[in-house]
Amino acid sequence: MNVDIDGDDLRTGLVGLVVALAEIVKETLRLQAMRRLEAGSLTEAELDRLGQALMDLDDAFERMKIELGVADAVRSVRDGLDQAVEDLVGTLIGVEQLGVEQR
Amino acid sequence: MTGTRPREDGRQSVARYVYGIVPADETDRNDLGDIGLDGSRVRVVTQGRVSALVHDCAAQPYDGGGESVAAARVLAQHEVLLLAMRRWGVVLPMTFNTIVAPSDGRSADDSLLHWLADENVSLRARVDALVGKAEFGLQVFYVPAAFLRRIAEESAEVRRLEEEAKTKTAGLAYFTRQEINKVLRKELDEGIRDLVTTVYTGARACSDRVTIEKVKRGTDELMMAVNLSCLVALVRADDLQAFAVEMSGRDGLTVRLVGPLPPYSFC
Repeated sequence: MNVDIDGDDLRTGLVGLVVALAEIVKETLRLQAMRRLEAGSLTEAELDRLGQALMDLDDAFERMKIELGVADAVRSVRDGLDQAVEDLVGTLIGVEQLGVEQR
Repeated sequence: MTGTRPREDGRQSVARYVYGIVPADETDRNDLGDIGLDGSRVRVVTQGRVSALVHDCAAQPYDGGGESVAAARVLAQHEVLLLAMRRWGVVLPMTFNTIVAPSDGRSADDSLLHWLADENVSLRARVDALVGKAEFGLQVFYVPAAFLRRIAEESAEVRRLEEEAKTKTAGLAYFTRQEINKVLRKELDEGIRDLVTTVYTGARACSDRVTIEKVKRGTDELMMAVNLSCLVALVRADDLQAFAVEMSGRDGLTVRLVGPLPPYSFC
């Protein structure tokens, strides 16, 4: 099978993948921050700074995706990962939970 | 027996492409016409109590030609099966590219007749089990924004957190907004789970069998909540239709009901 690789597509796909992975790391940071908040291990001033930093990070990611023209590529990578997880979870619990025919 | 008539592409038509199985009918063994893949003539091969709908082909699977050619072939197969449903009232569909090739010194026709003879009782039983029934596809979509807006309006917890966010500094309000998103996601998940249960239960009530198909990824504007294949007695098709209409009347939902189709998912 012949595969046509366009230079721009390759760049967009690669940058999209990198940004998607960085976005997942950012979301992990946010979850960690939420855990700290719930555990009460940070002062109000520290939480304010952390919240502000995460907000700035969110804005930076949104700007970066637009400037690099990779918003769709990032979405596609994230959708692919979500689908893989959904398939796995569906396979593990779907039939048992619903007790019905499943394909 | 049609022998080995050469095809236009030079390959020999030594094999038989099988579309589906229908009950043998002494009074109707006429060809279905040139309606098969790539305009092939579809004919009826009878053995015992069942008949196979076939056309003569090369012993290689149909592939290549690009997406549009592939789509046209799948559509042609579907049309043959729809015609069979109308003519015999039932059809047991075969999967795309079911080809009987010559083997072990037997011609394709001999191999096909042997297979039909060996499986006669079981094929007839499978055909009989589908008489008077058809497959319907039922898909329900939702508009995420509409769902989330309703949840936000109805949830006391969300309203409380929104008020709380207004009193905080920007950094602290960020975390409150994350809390709001968490509540919205949880309630959205519960709402979709309830919707899936409602749709499945409603479809099951008017179907002989229901299978849950994979949900296809939608867009931010429209997401698929549930994708069902239903085997429905034709006399109950109106019930399924009425259920689909009832669901589509609900706020934020779009329903697609497709059928009657050959029972692809139940054969």
